[in-house]
Amino acid sequence: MELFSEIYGCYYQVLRSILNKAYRNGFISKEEILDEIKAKAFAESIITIPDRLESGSWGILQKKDGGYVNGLDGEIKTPISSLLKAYLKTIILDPKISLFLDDSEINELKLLLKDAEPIWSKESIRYIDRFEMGDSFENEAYRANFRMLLKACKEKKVVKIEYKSTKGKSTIRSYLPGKIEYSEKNDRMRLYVLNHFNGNSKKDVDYETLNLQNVVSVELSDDQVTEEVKKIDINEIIERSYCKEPVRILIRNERNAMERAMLHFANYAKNTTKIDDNTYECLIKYNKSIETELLIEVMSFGPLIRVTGNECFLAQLKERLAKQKLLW
Amino acid sequence: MSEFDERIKSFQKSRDYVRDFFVFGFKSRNDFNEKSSRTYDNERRRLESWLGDYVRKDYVKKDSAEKDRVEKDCVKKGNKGAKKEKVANISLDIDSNMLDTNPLFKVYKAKSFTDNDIVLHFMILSLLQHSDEGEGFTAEEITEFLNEKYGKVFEQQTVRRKCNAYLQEGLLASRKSGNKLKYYCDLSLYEAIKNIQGLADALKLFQFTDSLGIAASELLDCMDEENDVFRIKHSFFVFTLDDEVLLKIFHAINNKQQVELNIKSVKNKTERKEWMVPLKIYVSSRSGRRYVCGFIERTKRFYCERLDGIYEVKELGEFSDFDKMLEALNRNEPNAWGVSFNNNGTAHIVKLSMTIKVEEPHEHYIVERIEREKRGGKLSKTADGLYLYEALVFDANEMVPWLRTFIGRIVDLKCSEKSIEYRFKRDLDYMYELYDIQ
Repeated sequence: MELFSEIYGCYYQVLRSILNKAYRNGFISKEEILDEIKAKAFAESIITIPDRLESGSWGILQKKDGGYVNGLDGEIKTPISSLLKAYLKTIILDPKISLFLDDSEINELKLLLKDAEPIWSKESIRYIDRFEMGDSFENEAYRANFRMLLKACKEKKVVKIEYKSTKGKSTIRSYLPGKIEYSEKNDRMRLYVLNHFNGNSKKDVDYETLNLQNVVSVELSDDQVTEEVKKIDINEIIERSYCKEPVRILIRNERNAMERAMLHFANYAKNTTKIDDNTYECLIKYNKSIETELLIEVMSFGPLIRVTGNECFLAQLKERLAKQKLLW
Repeated sequence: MSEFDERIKSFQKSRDYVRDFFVFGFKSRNDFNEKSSRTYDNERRRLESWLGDYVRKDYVKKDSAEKDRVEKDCVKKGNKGAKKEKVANISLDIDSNMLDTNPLFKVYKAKSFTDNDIVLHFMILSLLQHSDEGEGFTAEEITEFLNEKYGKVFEQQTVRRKCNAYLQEGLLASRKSGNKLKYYCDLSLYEAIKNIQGLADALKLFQFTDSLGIAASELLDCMDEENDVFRIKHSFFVFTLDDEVLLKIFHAINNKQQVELNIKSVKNKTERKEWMVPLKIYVSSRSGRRYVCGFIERTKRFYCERLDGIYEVKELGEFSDFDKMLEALNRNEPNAWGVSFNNNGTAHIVKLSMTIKVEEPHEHYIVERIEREKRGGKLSKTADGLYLYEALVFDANEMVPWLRTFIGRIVDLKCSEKSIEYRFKRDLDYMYELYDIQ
């Protein structure tokens, strides 16, 4: 089986969702159908799917009282294909799975998947530039902290975290966990936590990141947060934290630099325009906390990338070059 | 003219388009000179339908080639042509660590199908999932049932073909009853994974990791789950488009096969074929690029081919020396900095050393950084505030971008391949000139 399959495609998933809703409630309105399509399918599906239902060419839903009823015998579940079974078998052999499942659950899954072969083994992949010293995913204390933080993120509960900084200083503070971030490059997890969430204004709320490896202990706090705080969109806070001026770079398309740069910076929000036949301008949005990381990424391109702004970023680059000129 | 459809038959065609929009992010119609205007318009419309929230439009001045194209188009159509001086550039504006999923999974979820396909899918599953008949049903019984219950008349052959296709994909199971084949739907795994809450959370994370994240996304869809917790840093969403190819290569590795790769150069679009014994997948977590590393019998060398350039993988048969070659690769890997096993066509090992200055103790993080990133090299302290990094590698050219990240601290750089030293110094001089460093 291929990954590119209509059975797991948007249309099948939307129709399944519509059918199940119609079955559960005995009826589905046209508005509800549009909501399902908007949430799960593509922009133009809003025309094609209602058309097909209206014309009766799919013939599974019957029109009634300006909406539809489901003619099937119950809710439909999408069975798991051999390929997806093989994928499950592969990931339950990954050390990160023990963050989520205990041994009995892993064994239960192994039994259910006894006939499936993993798609790849750990030995078949070599990470050529992954940093050494990733997180200790199989460490008991790490797992316990991770699970508590995962629960707090999902339930939007305040936690007290004992944290050891990279300089070895220990602190205990209350935070509202937002998201857990995984970095492929570092093979590490970080926690986005919200600060100042009990103030009067949402604008006071900011965020910081904590390395999970440095979390010593976590416990649920009695502190409560308002519904308004629970609804805070962390992306808004991240965007607010972007530097006003993006980094502005010119890329000379030599030694395949354009393609390399576009891939290298693919994980940043950016905008690229062609200046002339051989030069492109790229604006990269970034957060002050990753400025040094971005600076060394830009330096790795040498003269093929020329930084033209912002002033602060450019000044740091020039300072490093000036230091270098004196050294060698 | 056929009607526009947001769904697609061929993944490969859209893979090329999405990659170009995503990676380069500045393509106008004129940049796609390989295809006709209508193909460009349709692909662009599809992209906007799938990824509308991330599509960004900028209006930029037409270059001369675009003006020529519009003029020719107008002459053909017999009108005077548009006076607009600007053209729309569309790009994908995606900041990977702000998203709950990879938007490019949508390309996988856009496969076209017929009305019969979707109707049969739900009707057959409804019967097999909700009937009290534990034994299952023959194709004949299913056909009759669909006719009686829904008034849908299908050829028995059509129903059998669909059931057999699902059987092959593992969606249905079968058992013999006398000389008849009965189909049934086993949902025990589905029920189990729905009940293990931790698994859904795991899939929310695994959808972002480097291999076949689309499979995790499809499983989440089946379980009606969405990611609300995890984010990814250093992820390169575009490479999910190569997962079909990756899947075939993993299959070949597992079965110790030699394969024929059809390759279209990412740089110059030229096409070629290569026979290879795939041994491993190499992943760069800095650039997101993935490679198949294998043995090329023709040249008796190890070689890495980028997955995004491969568009077809054909298995040729088992390679008897697979294990021997894998062992040889494992022996060679400590000297491969990246994906290259030779330097200017030779397989000799190059020695590179770099001395850097560190203001201690407050810059000790630099030492820690090298310890994390040294890839088999050796780091030693030679004097107060001076550290020597040494490495033995096949191709020191691959190290240059990493070495440049220490600009501002490099006290000395030596390489047994003198061209590396020369190139590094020349590039530095060029940067001093570029930024007017006196």
